[in-house]
Amino acid sequence: MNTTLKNGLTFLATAFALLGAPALHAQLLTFDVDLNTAALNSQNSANAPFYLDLQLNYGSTPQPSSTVTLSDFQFTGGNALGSATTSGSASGSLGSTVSLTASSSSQFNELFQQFSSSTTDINFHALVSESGAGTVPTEFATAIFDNSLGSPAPLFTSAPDTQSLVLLNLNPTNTMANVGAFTSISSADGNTPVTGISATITPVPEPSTTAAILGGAVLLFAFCARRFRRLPLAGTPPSPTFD
Amino acid sequence: MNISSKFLKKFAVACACATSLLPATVHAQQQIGHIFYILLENRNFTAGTDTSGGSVVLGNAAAPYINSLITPGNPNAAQVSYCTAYHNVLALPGGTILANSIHPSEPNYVWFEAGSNLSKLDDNDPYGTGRSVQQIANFLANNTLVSGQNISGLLNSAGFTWKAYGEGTNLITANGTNSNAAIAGQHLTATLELEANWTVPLVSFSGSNVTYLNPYNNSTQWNFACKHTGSLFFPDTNGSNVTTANVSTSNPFSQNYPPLAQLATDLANNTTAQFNVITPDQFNDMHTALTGGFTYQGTHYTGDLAQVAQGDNFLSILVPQIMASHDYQNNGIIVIWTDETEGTNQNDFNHTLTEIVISPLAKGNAYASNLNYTHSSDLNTLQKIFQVTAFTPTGFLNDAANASNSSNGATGAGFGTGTAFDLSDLFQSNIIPTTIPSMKIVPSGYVLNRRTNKVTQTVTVTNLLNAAITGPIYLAAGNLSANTAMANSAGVTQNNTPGSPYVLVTGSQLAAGASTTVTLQFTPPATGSITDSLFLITGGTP
Repeated sequence: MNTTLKNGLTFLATAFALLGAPALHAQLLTFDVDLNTAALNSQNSANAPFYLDLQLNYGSTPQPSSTVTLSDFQFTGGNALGSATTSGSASGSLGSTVSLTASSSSQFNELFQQFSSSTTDINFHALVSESGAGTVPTEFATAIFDNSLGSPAPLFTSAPDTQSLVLLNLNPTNTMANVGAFTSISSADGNTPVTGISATITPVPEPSTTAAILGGAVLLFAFCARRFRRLPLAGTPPSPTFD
Repeated sequence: MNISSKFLKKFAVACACATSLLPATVHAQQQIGHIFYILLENRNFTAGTDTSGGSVVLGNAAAPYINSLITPGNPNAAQVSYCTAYHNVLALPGGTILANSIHPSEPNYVWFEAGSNLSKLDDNDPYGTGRSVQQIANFLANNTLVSGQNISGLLNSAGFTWKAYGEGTNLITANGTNSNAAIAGQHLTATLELEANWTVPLVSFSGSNVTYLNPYNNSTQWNFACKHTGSLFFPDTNGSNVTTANVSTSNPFSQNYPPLAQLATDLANNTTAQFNVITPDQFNDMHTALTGGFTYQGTHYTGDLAQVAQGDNFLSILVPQIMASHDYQNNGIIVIWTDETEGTNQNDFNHTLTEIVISPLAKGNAYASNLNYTHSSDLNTLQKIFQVTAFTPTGFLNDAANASNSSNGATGAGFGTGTAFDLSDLFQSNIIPTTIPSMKIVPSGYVLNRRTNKVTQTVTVTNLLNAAITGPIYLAAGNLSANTAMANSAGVTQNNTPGSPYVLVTGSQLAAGASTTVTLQFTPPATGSITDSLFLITGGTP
């Protein structure tokens, strides 16, 4: 292979790595979730304990299964208490990774975890695989419950279902704009004693995309450095050739 | 059945379509495949005793192919139905007043897209000195009750594919430029531009040179006219703004305007659009006779008969090509359409136009529909097939809402026996949907509410019309799976899919274009999934 062709192919491979890789993973949404729970501190005695609830529920058929992987849980100012309760396909723990898979054979999938009321922030990373859309979409929801009415009860929020802090109806055409983040508000029935619990969503590039971009950058750097080395230095006469 | 219950049932069906908008659309598309409209020019199908508009198509020896299509028993007619009373828009049995005379060509092509000529009564180009797009915009600004939407735009918004094939467009000239650039003195070749170099043809051009050979009539003459492609006159489908043409390759609609020569490749690759409009050049569409005349099946024609023969020859080549394709054979439809009548008193019912439907779904064997039709019938049909709703009081594009004019008892050749909204009489029963959605629903997914221990689902109901829909409006869950129950149901239906639980969406009315959200609550199923088929009911007790 001659040098020009090899260089050209190297450049094309680099460009593909830089530009093409993200497109190959367009069906994935990745984001960090920050739940600001500081307002719970004033409600310790009346409404504790509190619970974090994570759901992924299948919509209508036909629709492929979808998976949400949650990791890097952090409880600032507090900690998770006891073991999580799971239903459906939910598996894992907040200490490592939580996986929820919704399919036609597993419609409701939930992980339910108690945490200490001194917690001011809950952070975690979400990786959502969106492989298809149904007339009724598969839905990912995150909520916080208190102990109102003698059993865990959701905080009343501005979300359409009145309880979720994070809401996403899965669809492969989704962008980050489709991820709903909500704040708890006082409800007319008085069932939500705590206002100001809020969710913040921050998009993050998925690891494979980051790796592809970094890899591409390294290749591009190597390509440019190689070309730079072959250029004669300014003021240096070219070496004589005898062939 | 009394009138009110009949209305109720009809509206329930309409709402059911709206409710399951996606399933309804899929259903229509499963039955009806790709659609091909071939647009012809200025030729009467019949004209009574009037000969001033040129020779007519029916029985014309220069049009043997078209006449074979409409001859019962002819092999070419096996999948053909046609109209015997297709009139110029706004035609009346005795002729229209001058103000309602929709001529020349361009107003009819605009009508085919929008159900109105939108004030156009000339053949100007979209931009440049013609400024048709600007004229239409000015008219719409002063006539807010008229919709400026068009069928190609509605399809685009709804995610359906559409293409407008133009003969002579996007070809390479002898100088290497794109024919669409319409450079003065350019000489076309028959070579297609690379697809990446396609543009939207927004300027008319014509000429003749030995560098070009027309594949249908074997002449060296070309003649592309913007006036014969209606979608070019709407900014939402020409990729330009009101004042300035976007003739660059970056125009987002460049790929929607392929050269006609691309059609054979698209047919071979099954890559035609769901809605295809085919505009022949002005020789092959019967508009203009070739200089020197045209020899067809051993006979040399000139002038008026050459126009007919050129068009018939074109159809005799193109229609079988389309019929041989997968996109046609999978329940496709070909419509041979003509823009306007010609001659003395051309807007009376003695004058008719050629409108032929070819489809595996047609009644076939040259079935002759004797209802009265116009371009609005085509538009009404297309909206029903694709289930696309315009933001108008009826949901139809302007005059597409109206039945064709009746003969008022008058009889004679060209006088139909009744009125038609759509082309359904040309097809087998239950092929053309009976209505379009007036509302749509968008359901969310399910969330288990821990406080209530109920599965909640929020449903957004949107009025698609530019008119309020009178309540009460109910949302019902038909065929709800047995593993659950609707916990917040207001009752179960008696008249519409009886036994379906429902909730009230609004007791008053849903304003034009407005949306409202309702929450459904279901008991959590012990096993299995919640399944149902949501639909809307209005107009009375559910």
